Amino acid sequence: MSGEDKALLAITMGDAAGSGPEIITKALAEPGVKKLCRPVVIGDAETMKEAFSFTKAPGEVRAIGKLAEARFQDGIVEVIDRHNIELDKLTRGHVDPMAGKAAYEYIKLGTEMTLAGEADAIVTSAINKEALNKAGYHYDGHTQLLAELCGVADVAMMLVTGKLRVSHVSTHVSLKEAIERVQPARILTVLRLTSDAVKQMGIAEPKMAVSGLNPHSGEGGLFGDEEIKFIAPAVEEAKKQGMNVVGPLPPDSVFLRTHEGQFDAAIAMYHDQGHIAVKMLGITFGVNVTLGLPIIRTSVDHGTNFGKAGKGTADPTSLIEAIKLASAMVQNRKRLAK
Amino acid sequence: MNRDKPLIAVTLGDITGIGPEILVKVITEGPPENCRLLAIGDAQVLHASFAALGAKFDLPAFRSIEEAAVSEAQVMVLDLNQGGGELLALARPHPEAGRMAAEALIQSARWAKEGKVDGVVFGPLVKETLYLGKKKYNDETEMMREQLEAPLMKSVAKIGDIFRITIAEHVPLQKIPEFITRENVLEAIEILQEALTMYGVKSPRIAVAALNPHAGEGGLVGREEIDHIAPAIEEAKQKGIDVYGPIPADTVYVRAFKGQYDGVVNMYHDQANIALKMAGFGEIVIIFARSPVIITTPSHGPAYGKAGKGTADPGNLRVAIEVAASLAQRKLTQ
Repeated sequence: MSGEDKALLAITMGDAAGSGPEIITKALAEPGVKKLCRPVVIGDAETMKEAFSFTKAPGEVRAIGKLAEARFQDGIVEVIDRHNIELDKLTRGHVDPMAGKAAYEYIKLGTEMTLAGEADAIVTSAINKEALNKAGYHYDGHTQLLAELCGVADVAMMLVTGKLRVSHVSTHVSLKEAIERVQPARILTVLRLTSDAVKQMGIAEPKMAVSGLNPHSGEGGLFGDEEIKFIAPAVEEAKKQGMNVVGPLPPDSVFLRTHEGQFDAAIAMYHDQGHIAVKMLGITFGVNVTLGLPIIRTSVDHGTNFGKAGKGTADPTSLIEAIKLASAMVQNRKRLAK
Repeated sequence: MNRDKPLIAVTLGDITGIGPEILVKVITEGPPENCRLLAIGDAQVLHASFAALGAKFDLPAFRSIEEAAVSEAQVMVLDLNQGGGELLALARPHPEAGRMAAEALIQSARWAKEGKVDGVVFGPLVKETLYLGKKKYNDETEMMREQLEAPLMKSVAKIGDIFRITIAEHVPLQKIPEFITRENVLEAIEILQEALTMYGVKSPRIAVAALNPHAGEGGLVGREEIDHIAPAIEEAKQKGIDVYGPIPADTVYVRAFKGQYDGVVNMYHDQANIALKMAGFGEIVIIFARSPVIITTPSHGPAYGKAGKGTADPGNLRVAIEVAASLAQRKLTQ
């Protein structure tokens, strides 16, 4: 793939006090990454320079003012410099509202650039929710913030680890509230968003499996009736709409079966149901994808890793996978549009 | 000297399922060396089970427990003379088979209580046919609690080196928050501590899983952690238990499998089972805590779909016998 064909990715630097900047230096030094995309970092140039000094990754920072100045040369990491971190005041390894505010600004700009079509997709490094909140931005994480910036309501979180793709009916709500959110309309929405996303991931006719809510999928109503009342009708409706979907299947085997390749994606009814399955596979190479946005957005599947900040040892695998997945989705979107 | 080894009674379980087959396989493939194995059931049924697998039945069979107890044999049979040959590998639940399985289990446990055997392993059985005489029980724990006069008995699972207890097992998800009380969480921690100690784990480290995502995130997404789970953990700590949590459910097994904990308290069924299936754990042994006698069982059911095919895997039963023998050995040497 040459030049213009490669996906132009807006990579947000994330929380400056964490290891987000460091994993970017490592990820962009990967030869495979540069072959797939044209990356530009949205962040703070001085912070990125310091990150290079921590990781000793090959490459150097070039601060730019706007995307049009980017030249995408080898060995150069171009940073759209928001100049919003005072390094001597930054409390590395701890929650810092300055870093939270800065992280918000990167996401906002990255989203705007992608919505405007200047970038093909946005890839986000780790943020800290508490820092974001302390800076005055009250979101439960990236997903909610992105939905608001894009002006959409129906979004869903998908985790991707190898062959296992899991979309969630709900995420950051209590278990009690999660149970209330298991409603046919929402399940159908998540199925539709999942189907679209899996197609963008290169699978023409996605096979999907829907998990039950209760142990053994309720065992015919013995251990709960949400399967009968809400989940099965949603699956039936999805089939009528032409989707290739089965369920509800017992929660303790549906994710393993998906991982083994029987399905292209599984739908989890609540946060931990999907997350337990994904994290057992190893959290270092998972990718978080937001479904339902008008733009392609992938992200690392881990937090700011404050414990490793400044040490140069943080693992960039999840970010590398997020970049690869975003690049592939951009290419498939172009192909599907033809 | 075989006589020095603990004598473990192993019942056939539901003979319409895979119970007899897996026991015969354990015996013919080489029984666990850390015990004397006393198969409890009908000798004719066992005979037929050996024949079905093309194996020769040449075990000493006794009619009285006293005779068996003084035998030098490593594997022997206590013939309950129950009959039931026509039910073997019937591949569906049958009340008569359920009754035989329950009788063998309770008889073995009584012998254990009287000190005639050192431990009991019961073969897989099903709740729907759990009859003792005319009385129907909801599950084996309920039956043993009553029959052994041990109202506090509770099952704990041993998964590799990790012990697990689940507070609300087969319960609709909606009802689970009702079970998450400070008392229930504390009791679960204490039972797990007892089971681990019984198995010989010194100063066990116990993790308590949270109920809500991200362990409730300081009350933002659920309050059970603050109101019930954390106070129970504090109380357990004050009692000297090395306990951690509430730990987010999506990382508690990741950490446990790295060796960070010896035991995990789960709030509900799938919290544990999704993680274990993903990790590929098949051989889970159930151990009964707060029991007057040592009792274990494999975690799987009678697997009717596999009955009579000769393809059932005896691995889980073997581990259940080894665990019972190891528990009995500890008790004998204490």
